[in-house]
Amino acid sequence: MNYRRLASLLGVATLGLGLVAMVVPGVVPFGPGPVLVWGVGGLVLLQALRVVGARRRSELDEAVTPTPELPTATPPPGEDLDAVLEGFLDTRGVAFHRGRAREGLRSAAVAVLARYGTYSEVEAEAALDAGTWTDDRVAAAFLGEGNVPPSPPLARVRNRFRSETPMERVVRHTVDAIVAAAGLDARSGGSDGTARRRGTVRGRESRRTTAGRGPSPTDETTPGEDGSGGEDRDTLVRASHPTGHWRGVSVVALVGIGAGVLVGEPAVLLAAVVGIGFAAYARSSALPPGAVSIERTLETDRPDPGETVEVTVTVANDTVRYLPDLRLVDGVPEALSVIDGSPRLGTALRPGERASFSYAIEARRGVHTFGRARLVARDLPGSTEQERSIAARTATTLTCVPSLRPLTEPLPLRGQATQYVGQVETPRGGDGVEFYATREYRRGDALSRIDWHRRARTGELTTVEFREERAARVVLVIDATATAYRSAEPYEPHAVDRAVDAAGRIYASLTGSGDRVGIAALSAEECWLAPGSGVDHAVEARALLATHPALSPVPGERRSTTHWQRRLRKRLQPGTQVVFLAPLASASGDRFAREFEAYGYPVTVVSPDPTADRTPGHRLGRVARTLRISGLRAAGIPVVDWPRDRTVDEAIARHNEGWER
Amino acid sequence: MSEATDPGRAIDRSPTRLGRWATTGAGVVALASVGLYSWPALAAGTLGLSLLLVGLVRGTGGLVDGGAFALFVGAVLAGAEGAPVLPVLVGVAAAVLAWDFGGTAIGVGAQLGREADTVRLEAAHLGASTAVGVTVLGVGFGLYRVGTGGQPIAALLLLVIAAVLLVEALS
Repeated sequence: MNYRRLASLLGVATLGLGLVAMVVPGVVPFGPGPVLVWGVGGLVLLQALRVVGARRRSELDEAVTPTPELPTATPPPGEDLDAVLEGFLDTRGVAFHRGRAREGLRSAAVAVLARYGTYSEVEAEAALDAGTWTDDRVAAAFLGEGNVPPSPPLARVRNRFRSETPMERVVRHTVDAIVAAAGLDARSGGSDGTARRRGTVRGRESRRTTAGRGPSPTDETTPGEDGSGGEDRDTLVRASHPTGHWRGVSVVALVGIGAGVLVGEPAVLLAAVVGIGFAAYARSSALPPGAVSIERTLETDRPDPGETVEVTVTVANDTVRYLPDLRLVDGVPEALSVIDGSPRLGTALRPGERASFSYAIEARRGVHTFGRARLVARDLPGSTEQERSIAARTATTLTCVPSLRPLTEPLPLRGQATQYVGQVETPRGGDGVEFYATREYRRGDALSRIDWHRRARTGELTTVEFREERAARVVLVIDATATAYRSAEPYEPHAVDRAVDAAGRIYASLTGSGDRVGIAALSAEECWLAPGSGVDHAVEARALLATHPALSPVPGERRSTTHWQRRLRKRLQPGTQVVFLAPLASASGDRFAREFEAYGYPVTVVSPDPTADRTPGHRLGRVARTLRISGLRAAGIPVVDWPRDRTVDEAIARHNEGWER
Repeated sequence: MSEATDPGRAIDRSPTRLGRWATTGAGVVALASVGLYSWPALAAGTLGLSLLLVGLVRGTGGLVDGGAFALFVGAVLAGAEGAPVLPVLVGVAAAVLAWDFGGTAIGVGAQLGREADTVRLEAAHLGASTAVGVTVLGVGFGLYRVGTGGQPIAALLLLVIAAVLLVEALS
């Protein structure tokens, strides 16, 4: 600070002296010798060098804009290998180390061998110790008692390029051996682990939850605040600060002067004038940054799923100043993706002027509120910048409620029923279609039920009974816990979306055939629709599936669901069936199904498969899920396994044909 | 299951189209105005232009900085070898503009991407910078035309020192 003031004072003084010397020659009593000229020139060039160095060392301080174009990415199960391994262990360890990795893999191997191999658990342990359970020498040695054989020399060279640690190599081999033992699509032991690892969510540029969203506390606003106007509409996220765009422009002046003095060429000396001019322009902060107001209109705010909706944003300069540099990024709802155009605009606006831009988004189930737009504004030279977060004049909300379409294939229910007529076949005679038994005629039996053939043949009066078909009371429970937000690819529909989609179709099917159906979500947020049927109930169910916050297409924060589980149990009447829609990506879903089965509610599981096989973790996650499914089936709970490349109808059809058992 | 159109396409955050053209234009002007006056100037300018273009394609700020600096050095070298004042001044101003345009193209590209409409923003910035360039060029050349009357060397040196001190105080 003081250095600057001194420099400017001296500068002004020297300038004055120089001007006087120009007007009145001879006032300055000395003539500069060549030594002085060279000295000054050299010093100035040295200073220029310092400026260049400073520019090279410093980084530009420019705003990083969010990436609202992409929906929130969801990972496949097993993204965190350690967490999967922990799932196989009974107790939670404090720290995770090599020993625990081995223990986890060992219990996974035991579980797989005992389930799919010809081993009992004890035999499996023995086979692991002896290393006879797999052909893979690395895996056998790691889980057994031998030493892990070193990689062959050629592989070692390859490993250099793959940046795989010895531990990672051993884990990869072991996981692949376990996967092979489970009879799942095994990876060949060696070749391309890293190529697959590249594709994980972590590697992507656009993970919203991390870098993408940017450092903004004001970003997450509730819809209520958005439209309220007042001071809240426009928040300064970061005040004006230098960007560093022009940093180092003084080097032009310094080199011009230094070199000009040394070589004595007026052309070079005058280059300094250009440098000084630009430096002054950069310092001027001409036309400082300011705020704008925005307005957003939607082509339609109640689209069908998959429909393309055009969003038009109008930006207006309500100030009395020219705003030379406005960079705007609109707040596209987190769950939606931009499929055409760009939700960004760079413009300059005169006072009162407005500009608009539009882009297209793809509608998706749910209530989507547009967030605040991010404005990065600069002055004319671009040397100062500020960031603002701006809400639209009126809150923009897009509601997408899918219609309820019945399944093409009936979902088999378990055998318990209510007093209502329906489709569950009971082991009782009564009214129905299918022949059940004949019995002796009793007074009051309908004439149409008397077996007249037998009467004609033998003279006996008998009554025919048919198999009674009763309605079931069903509650569809959707797993919407944090661990259910999983998908094989980052941006494809995750397990919760698929479960909600399937729930709507199952609801339509079952109510269509006379069952009474309720809906609940396994989630921290309460979500409950009592079993019922009829038009009004269907409207309610449709709205709940589409818009209930517990079933939001964007994962919420992780909270305990045990409390809610207890309340759900109290709500279920005896004899109610539970159709549990869960990816079974974690132990909690497995536990829920078993507990409710044990309480006496017959459980059927419909499980969208979110697993992937890019990394050892993913593959082990797939093994864990397969183990859960076969465990549930062994416990007598039917599980419809729903692969990601099939429709739910196909999955149920496969299940009905008995392919899966 | 609703079929997902793949939204995983990455956003193209490379330098903007208009910015690339403007930067290339300024770089070519800088090279053309001084390149014919001396071999070192031609060498430095060619190097500078190539660095500038590579930096623009790859979106690397450091390369654009280096390229513009080499273009500027080329102009100074030409001046030192006796090139006329006007081409040297044009070369210096164009080098500074190429630096400014390149940095802006990279910055706007990074913040808004290539798909967004950024023409007005860039036009305002490019126009303003060019206007400043033309003005300082005019002032410099005017000083040259006025100040050829053989001022005492002491006055010149004092003015130079004053300018250096003031630039220091400003930056």
